[in-house]
Amino acid sequence: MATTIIGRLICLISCHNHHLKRLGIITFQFYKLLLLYNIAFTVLALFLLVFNGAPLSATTFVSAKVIGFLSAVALHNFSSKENYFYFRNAGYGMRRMFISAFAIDISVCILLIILSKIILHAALYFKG
Amino acid sequence: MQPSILKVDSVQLEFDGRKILQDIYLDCKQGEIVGLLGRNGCGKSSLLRIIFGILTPGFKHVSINDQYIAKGYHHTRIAYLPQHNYLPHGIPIEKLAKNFIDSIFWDEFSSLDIYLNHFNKTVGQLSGGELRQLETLMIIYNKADFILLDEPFTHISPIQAELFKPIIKRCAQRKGFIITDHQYRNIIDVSDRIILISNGSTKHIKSKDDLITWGYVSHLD
Repeated sequence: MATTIIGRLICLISCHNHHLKRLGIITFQFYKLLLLYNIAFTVLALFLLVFNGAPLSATTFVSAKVIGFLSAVALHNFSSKENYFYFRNAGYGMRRMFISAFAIDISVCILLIILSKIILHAALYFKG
Repeated sequence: MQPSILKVDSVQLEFDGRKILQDIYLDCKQGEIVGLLGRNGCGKSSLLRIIFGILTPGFKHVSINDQYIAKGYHHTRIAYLPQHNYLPHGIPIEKLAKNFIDSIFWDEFSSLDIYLNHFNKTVGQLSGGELRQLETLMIIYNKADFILLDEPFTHISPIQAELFKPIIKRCAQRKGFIITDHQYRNIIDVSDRIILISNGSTKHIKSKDDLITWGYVSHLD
């Protein structure tokens, strides 16, 4: 009895891990499709925000990121909507794909901000 | 294990006040191939889209084992081959296929010529015919329990259509298939039973002569 329960539990955890791994791969595939648009729109949004007087801060950067991501999604939705069938046939709805891709995007953005802060701090330190 | 049953009932679909689908009932068991026939514009593709969950009708009841399914594609219960290309550009075929194909059929799929010749290429490097063939096969071998094929025999050569039929029959030992195409001879060949959509409702065809009776064809060879 106990062996059966443990066996089922192991199977459940293994299935869950497999599902998460698959979701991760599919999400990265979707994120890759948006990447070029995303970078282009983010840089443009950052330029326009700074050009219009916004300070070059983390808040401005995150705002540009959000605008860039939403613009990339809108353009992809307009030009390549038929690709959504690939993701749906993989078992994932588009809302889930957008949310997961945004989570990756914002994580990459935060990581870049932290890295740039560390590099700036280190540069100032070594400069004396 | 008991085979799952997909049931589609009471679908009501209107476009601009024109009733397209109004008296629909069809079911499909795992292990069965159901052919769906009907004239242009009768609502065959719309019905498949409703089952898949990407078209919202006025009313529908889609269930698997009597459990209501709002979106057929969730949790890979149902896969759907659209009439247009659907694979994303810029990602190698191998990477697209690996998370898509039923692991039980992976060895069979990965030994097909179309895969062996193109697995390291991207969609943009394939011809229209090659891409359509690959996309169709990727849906046939998909992980889903039920497979909906919208015009799988269109845009491919007759010899390729002949190649698809045994593959569909083999995969249908584990899955349920609903297939529609205007090449009705191919549909009759591959299907276990035929359903005709006429005047917005489903007619369960018992003999080929019924197709003449319901006005789908004028004569049969």
